[in-house]
Amino acid sequence: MSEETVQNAAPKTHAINMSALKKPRRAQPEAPKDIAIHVNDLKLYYGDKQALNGIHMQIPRKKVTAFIGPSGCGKSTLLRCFNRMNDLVDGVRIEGEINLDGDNIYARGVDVADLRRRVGMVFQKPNPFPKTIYENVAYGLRIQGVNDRRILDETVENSLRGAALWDEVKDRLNDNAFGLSGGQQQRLVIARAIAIEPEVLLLDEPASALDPISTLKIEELIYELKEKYTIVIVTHNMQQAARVSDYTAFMYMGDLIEFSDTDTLFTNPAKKQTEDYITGRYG
Amino acid sequence: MLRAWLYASTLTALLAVLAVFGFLLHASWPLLAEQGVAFVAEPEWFPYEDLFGLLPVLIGSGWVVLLALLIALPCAVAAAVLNAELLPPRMRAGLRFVMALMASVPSVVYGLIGLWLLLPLLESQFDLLTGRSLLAAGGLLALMILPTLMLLSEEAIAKVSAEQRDAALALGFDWTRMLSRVLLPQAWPGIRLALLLSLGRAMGETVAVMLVVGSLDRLPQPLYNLLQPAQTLTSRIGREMAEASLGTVHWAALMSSGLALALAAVLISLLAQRGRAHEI
Repeated sequence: MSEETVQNAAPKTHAINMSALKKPRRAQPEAPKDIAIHVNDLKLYYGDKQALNGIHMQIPRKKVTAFIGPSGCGKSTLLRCFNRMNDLVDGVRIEGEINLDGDNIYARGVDVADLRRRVGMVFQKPNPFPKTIYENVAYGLRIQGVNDRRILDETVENSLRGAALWDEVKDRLNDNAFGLSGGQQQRLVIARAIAIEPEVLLLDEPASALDPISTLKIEELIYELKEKYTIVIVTHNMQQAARVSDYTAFMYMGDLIEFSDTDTLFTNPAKKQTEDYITGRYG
Repeated sequence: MLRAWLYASTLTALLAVLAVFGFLLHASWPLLAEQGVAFVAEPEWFPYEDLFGLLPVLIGSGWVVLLALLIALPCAVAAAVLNAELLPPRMRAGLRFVMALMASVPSVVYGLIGLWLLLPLLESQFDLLTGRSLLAAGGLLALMILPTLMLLSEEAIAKVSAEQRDAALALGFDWTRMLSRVLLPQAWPGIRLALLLSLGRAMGETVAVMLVVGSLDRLPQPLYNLLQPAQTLTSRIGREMAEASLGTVHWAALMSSGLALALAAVLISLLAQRGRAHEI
């Protein structure tokens, strides 16, 4: 993409003040204490085309980390590496390491199904199963062989409470999940994900198909969820990243350009590219 | 004007359907008037003594259809899963093409293949005087409904959305569980519809069945002996219609077999309709 086409793209409005003083920063949060995920020289190819160019990053535990960047920059691709959803795409080749609590998830002999129980994922479009609200949340446990009604009841309630949906659905747990609104479905899907107690929650543009009020609810929920889970969220919406995340990574054309705490990235970015993007000079 | 034409066309179609049933009922009437409906459950078919029991052909038709579905369904669904989920796109298109070819082969050709390959095989395998049997007819019908059943099942499986697959995988389902808990249950309405269509095809198939079923008008001994020659509703009509003189009770009895077939077909399509209503 040439500089001109980038500049011709319609500028986005944004509500973030740029501070006048900028000092260079490392592409890493300043004091990473407790790290959940280490990404080490991760390269991903779709056939001959390289989509991720040797990514290094450390994602802090029980914080919200946001990935931002223009379409096609690789942020969703990177997110999908964390639970190996890219394995399913034809012609994908991955090099490098992702360490989750010290174990390389791309090592030989890793049980991918087991990994995905540790790393839950919520997608752009709500995707409940065509089942009751109750069964949607209980399904992950049932698959693992849990059939004790008491445990299931308890987990369903706790998960729905955890996803801020309990009060709205507690009287109709046996209704079909498709009867819920889009925003409710998305929270149901979050409840389904947290019912199997993952360590990490990946959110791939979780609010982009929702109305503003539902979006706000999801954002509030993300804020609560980080007490228990490490959260990584991909978003197109820079204001959303600024509102919900503790750390933000800016990606561009397969490179991690800058990664720092959210305030710094939005007010005092180290790189020109980051500044151009957050001030709306990229599409 | 257009409206009148639409109404007229619809009415014509409706009348045609009613006329078919009216005609079959009328043509069966000599037998119904003479023997009531008791003949349906009688075991003897012997036109020269006015015995027109339908039980042997009802059981014969029931057996060959059941056998065909039991043999074809597992094969068709397995092939559909393999093709929809596991094979690379180019092989997938190839297999679909072969199946579509198989579906378009005229049924009499299948009958010839049955005569040439299936009968000798059964004769040597089970040490039979003749391979013509319920099993031969059921096996041949299975081969004939397999392509359509497989193609429609594959479509139903492929139609389960990517979102649903993602949801299952992201929850830590392995492939087997995704298949058994998400793909097949969600594809089931489509597979069921395919099954009912195939059932109708198998039940109505005449020429191929006639060539391999043996056309023996009696009950299998014992009833589950599938290696004996037998007769189906369709094979009897095909074999005897040319010999029956118009207006005789024999002729009416064959017409009543046709009526029984038509009623069974209606029942199947009602089942299919109900399935669709459930889907929504």
